[in-house]
Amino acid sequence: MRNKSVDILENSNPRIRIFYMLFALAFLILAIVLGYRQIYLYDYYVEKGERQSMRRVIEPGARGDIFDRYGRLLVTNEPRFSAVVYFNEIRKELREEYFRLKKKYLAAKDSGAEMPSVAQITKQARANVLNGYVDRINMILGSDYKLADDDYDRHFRQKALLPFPLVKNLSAREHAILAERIPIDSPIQIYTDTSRYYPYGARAAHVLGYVGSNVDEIDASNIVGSDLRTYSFTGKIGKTGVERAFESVLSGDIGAKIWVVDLAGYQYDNVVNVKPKKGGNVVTSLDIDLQAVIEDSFGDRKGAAVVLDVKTGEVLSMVSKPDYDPNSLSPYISYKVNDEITARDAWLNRATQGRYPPGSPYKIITAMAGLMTGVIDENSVKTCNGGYKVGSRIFPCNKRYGHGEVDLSAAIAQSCNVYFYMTGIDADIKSIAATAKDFGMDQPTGIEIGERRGVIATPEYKREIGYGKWLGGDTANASIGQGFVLETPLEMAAFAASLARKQTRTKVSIIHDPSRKADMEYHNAVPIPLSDVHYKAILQGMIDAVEKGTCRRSKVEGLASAAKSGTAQVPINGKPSTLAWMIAFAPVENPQIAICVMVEGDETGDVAGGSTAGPIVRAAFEAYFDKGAQ
Amino acid sequence: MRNAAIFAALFIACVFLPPWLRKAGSGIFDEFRAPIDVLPAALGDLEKYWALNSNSKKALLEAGRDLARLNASYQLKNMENSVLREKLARYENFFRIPSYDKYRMEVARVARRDISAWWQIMVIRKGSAHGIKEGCAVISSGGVVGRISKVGAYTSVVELVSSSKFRMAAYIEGENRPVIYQGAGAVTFHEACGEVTDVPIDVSAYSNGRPLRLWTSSLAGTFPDGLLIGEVKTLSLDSDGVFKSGMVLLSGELSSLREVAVLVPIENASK
Repeated sequence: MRNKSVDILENSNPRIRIFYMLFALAFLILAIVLGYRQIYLYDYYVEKGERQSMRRVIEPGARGDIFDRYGRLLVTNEPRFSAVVYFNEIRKELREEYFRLKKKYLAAKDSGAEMPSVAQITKQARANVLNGYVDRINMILGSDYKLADDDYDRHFRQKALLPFPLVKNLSAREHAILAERIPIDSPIQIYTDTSRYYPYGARAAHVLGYVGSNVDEIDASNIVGSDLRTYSFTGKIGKTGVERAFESVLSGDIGAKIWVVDLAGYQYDNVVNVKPKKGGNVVTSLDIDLQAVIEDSFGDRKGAAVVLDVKTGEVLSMVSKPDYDPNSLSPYISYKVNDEITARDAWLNRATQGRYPPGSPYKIITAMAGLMTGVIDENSVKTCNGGYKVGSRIFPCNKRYGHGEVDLSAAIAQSCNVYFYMTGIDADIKSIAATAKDFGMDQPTGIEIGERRGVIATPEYKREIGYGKWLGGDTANASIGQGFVLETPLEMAAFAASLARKQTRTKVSIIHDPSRKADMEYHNAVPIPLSDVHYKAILQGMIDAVEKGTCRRSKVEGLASAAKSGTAQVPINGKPSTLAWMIAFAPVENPQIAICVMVEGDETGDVAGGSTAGPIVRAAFEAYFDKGAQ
Repeated sequence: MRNAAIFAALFIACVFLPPWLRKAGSGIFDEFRAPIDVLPAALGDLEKYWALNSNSKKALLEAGRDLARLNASYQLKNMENSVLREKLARYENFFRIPSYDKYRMEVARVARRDISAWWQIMVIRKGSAHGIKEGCAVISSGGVVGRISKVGAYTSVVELVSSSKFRMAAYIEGENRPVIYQGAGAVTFHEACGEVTDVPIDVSAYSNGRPLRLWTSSLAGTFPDGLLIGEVKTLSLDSDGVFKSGMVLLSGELSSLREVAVLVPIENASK
């Protein structure tokens, strides 16, 4: 008997073999592709699978602290405690609550009620569970907190790996109570974030600056897992002042956690944990005691003051009034606070960003221009009759009936405008501008927190800003620091420091560096090209100003100081007003500190250099030298 | 085969039983087990009694005399305490200050202790019949011992202060800012220790060369203020630079305690 299958084979259509072959070929291709994918592309798929199942959480490091020159803490971080839950910890509860609600609605549906959608039930289940936790916290603390963030659906969709805040800003006491009363394995956890804390409140607010939320994506490209889907905590970034200038030092090293997640996006295994690190500290050159004294002497007045170490150019104090408490800007700036600070015009750092006509302290520049060009010498005497006619206009002196005959020192001591009108016009605007340029009056002082440059009055500048041809009256104005001349209080303080060292420039720094070698090369300065006799004549004028001239109210008994006051007229916000100025340094023999004070008046004549700025200078000298004596 | 089926059925029942039934089952099991915990301790006491009883008459007389002296001194101290209490009560009454007696002490003998890598617990010979509730503080003359984690009728389980499941608010000596203490679990051949966290960065572990002590805080209402937890041996800045954390050395008594006191809140006791 023949085998039946053999018969079938023999009797079969030969074309069927082609089918077999095609079938075999298809299987071969499948096997090859399978092998290719399973063996050759094994690593690729493993990596891809890992990428799909891993998530990275980036956490910025805490910012570094800021100190004053004596090591007193000016800015630090304050812990902020929040009670949080991680969604993966409560997934079982969420699921149970979902099914409970679904069962309830199904039962209600039988009696004709409408059945909510799956999304609605899910949302309600999340709300119930989360509110249940808040109720538990309230029960423990005896408080009445509400859910901190009611947008839990968005959090679940976009930031499921980050802790969800149940209650924010717990006090240290509440944190301690919760830590004790909540079991360690409870889904409720305490999350510690930081906010910036300024122990001295508004002191040196403009110098120290403040921070804001870093809304830009944190650069985590150098942290492991840069190709993974990344969630990030919001960091902080310096917005102004030292906080901004030294961002790269202060900002901490970011940390990262890599989690393995399941299909639903819940984390279940932490495979990488790089802890964030605190940023570096910054030691500023400020003396917070001196800062406090000067700020207090301003009272409610608007203005600015800068005190510099004459030798090193370090800023000992920088005041800008009105100010604000940076603690009120942390962790975020509310509309109310913003509006209040804006209304008081307190955002501006007047010391570095406010440009004003410097008034009579600028006469020192005019005097030097006159001495350098030879139009005057130390003994040149000019007659002041209370005014000086330039063209058809009479430019008044600050003393209505004139100073009579005055020499250079007396003109400086009594701040005689007429003397400097004459000297300025004789020396010409070009030489005044050149002298001002030598002192870097239109160049940055080098302070790290940013500044506006001063403006030197020149015919070119006047033309550039569209005010036309330079007139003789413009030179007269420039000779007494008015008209087109604009300087910041910082620039004028640097000028005072340079003058005290008999050099042309002072490089200013807000950083305290005891090892700084502050020589002429460091300051990019040269000696003032004046003979000792000429320099002494100017110095004598400034000493006399303190002893018997316009700066009498800055005098500190037993301290030899040199000063020059000024009262400039200027429109502020379209309203005519007066600025009170004073630059000074002390002791005369071996200058240690230089100061510039500028006070804005509310209306014409309500402030004056000698009477308004003088007492502030005196308070600063007393505070500095009393401390030195101690 | 039949046994395997019974075992499988029990296993499945254990897994799928509702939580309340499992809890009740666990409670019943504990109650049945309690005498087994207590028995060795009671036998130990009996053994000690007979050991003492076998002493010579002279030795017993001397011991009795010493005991009488000790009792007399305790009685004296007791009287002093009574006088002080009365004085305090008078002052409270005079100044109309509410009484500060928030706890009563329930002294209990230790029946069993289980100190291992997994557990850091102790079983005491008093329970709900004596007013003890879950969460009550347990102390000894050396300071904090732990907290009641489970209560039976006549026994209770104490989660020891060295357990990693034990966490509480605390104060470092000389400070009024609260910190967090947590047990560190068992470390073989080492003294019991814990960890203190959230310590402000200006606090140092030593003052005048002496380690600072960690005291209890009454913030959460479990412990009264000022009981010793341990000595802060080290403090170092956390990587985030916001707080310091460090190691706390606990009392060596934990592994040899025979008697503890449970602080029962008076409100609870009255209920």
